[in-house]
Amino acid sequence: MNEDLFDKYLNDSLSDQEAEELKTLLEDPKVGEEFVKYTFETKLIADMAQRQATIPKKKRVPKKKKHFSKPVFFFLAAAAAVLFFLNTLPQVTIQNKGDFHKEGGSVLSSLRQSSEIFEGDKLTALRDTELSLPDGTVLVFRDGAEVTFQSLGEATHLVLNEGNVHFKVQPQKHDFIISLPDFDIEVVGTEFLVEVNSGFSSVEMIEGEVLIKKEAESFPLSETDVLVQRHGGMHLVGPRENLSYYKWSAWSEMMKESQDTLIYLDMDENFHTHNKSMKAKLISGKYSSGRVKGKKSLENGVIEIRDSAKVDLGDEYTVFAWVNFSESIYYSPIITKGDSALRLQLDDSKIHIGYGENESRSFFTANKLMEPMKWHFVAATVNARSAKLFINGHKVGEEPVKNPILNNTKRIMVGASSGIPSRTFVGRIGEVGLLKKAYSESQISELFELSNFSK
Amino acid sequence: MKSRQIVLRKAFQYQSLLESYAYALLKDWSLSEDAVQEAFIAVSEKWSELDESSLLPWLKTVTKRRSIDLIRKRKRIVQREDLMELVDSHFQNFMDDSFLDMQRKYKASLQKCISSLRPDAIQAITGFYIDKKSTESLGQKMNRSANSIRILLMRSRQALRKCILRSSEASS
Repeated sequence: MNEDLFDKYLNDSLSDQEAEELKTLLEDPKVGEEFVKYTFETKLIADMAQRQATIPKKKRVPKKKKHFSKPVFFFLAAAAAVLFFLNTLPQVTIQNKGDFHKEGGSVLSSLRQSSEIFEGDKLTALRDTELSLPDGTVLVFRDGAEVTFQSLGEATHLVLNEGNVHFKVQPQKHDFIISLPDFDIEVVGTEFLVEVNSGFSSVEMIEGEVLIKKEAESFPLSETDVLVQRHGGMHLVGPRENLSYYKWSAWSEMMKESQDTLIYLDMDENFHTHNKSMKAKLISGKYSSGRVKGKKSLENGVIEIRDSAKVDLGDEYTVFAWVNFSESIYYSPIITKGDSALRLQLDDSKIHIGYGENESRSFFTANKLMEPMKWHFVAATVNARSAKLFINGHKVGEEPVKNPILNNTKRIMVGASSGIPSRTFVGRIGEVGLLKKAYSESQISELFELSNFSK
Repeated sequence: MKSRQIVLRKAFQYQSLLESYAYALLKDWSLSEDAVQEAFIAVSEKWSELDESSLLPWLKTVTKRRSIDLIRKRKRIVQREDLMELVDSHFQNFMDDSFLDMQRKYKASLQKCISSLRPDAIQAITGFYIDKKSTESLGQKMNRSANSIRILLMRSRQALRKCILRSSEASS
């Protein structure tokens, strides 16, 4: 009986009479204690049930040993010997799984398998890949991560300029330092993930301990610690699961502050654009669990933003959204401005963009199926030359544009079309953005990477 | 030697407790997490003024203040302020280090027990407690009556309590 009232209180659904009844009950300290315990229990059960329902178990994949054929080995050894005489800079032989772009002084080359790197070389991963240093230390790069090998003598000094690298460092006799924009990591021998992205850096410990050094301050990070640096401040964010919250906040703040942003909607704060006088209104549906723990999404709902000069589209735009559709239906609007100038929607599990007004009206659908009940980052760019569609940062379609007129006086709707209100999105919509420029393919890929916290 | 990281690390031990406390005031998971995160940011700024014994009472005060700020910012109408104060007073009384210790043990056992629940029980728990769906709408979604969802929730919690009791008896 008490628990039913406790649940109703916690779910904000007490009637006046029930609230009075609960108040009387709570006058008794024993019931008070029962309520406190019940609330804690609810929090723990809800957290764990959510994890059980949504988080797949991580599997550690054993690393395959790399074997090189004898001819390749001898060729590389000979090349290394030549390079040794030509260059007096400290160097090491690395074994890499390929697809790095190397920028060392004036030399630009694409590395394959075993290669020499010199002090000052900068490597950029052209896909998810990895390399090993002579002592067995492994650096697992995510696509786009960039590292400068500052020092390769007895001491090793690497600079992570950008991106995400997983370090598995063998025990070291000499200094092994990794520099990030705002602090250094001193490593003895351990495993951790480091990320540097647009004003956000993080160190996520997996095993062992590292020493963080920033000016005069120095402190250890040990297993399960996560450190985040953003907006000039350093935060120990505690258990690993807190990291996505910080990443989400950094991404959300970046979108709010961007000069390109016409509209940025995160379903937690309801609505934001850099012009705060714009108002968004929830017409139907509700907020439910989002992509990130503790953050929300719009479920089977519709949000309306009234038309004004502040949402004029000009002659180009980018639109993006995180979506998770539960039903594959024809005409499932994600964000629209009328039925034409801007209409990003799903058509039978495929992404579709409609643009232009009157005679210049046009649309197309990408020929790639999306999986239901999964989060996808969808985007479209339109300018005077072409319209492009993207899924998870990759271009999936492009069409030429003739005489675009992208503006109209219709309201903006999320989850519905103002042209045909009966058509609505079935599923969940996370963050939605409308930018006043047509972003390049690499910028769209970056938007996806910055907002993708599942990696 | 006291450092900001040591104080913060200690503060993080209370995270789950504080989020439950904030939830009892705000009745919103994401807002309660926001309130506690803001309290931690306050710790990272004022760590030098805090010692271990005063940390939890201080965190409780800041979490309460931040929760009330969030209620005002979001213009949520607290229909029963007297009820909220009563709830708050109970949390102030019972939330201490020994309670934290008890919760840790409970959490460790729960981790093992939760996997024994059936998928429909997990669905009902996340739907009701996380997504705040009513038993009626959950019933509709799961092809059951609202009452059977209520019973499913109640029985799932009872089963978890039994499993936790068995697990603590076995370990003692």
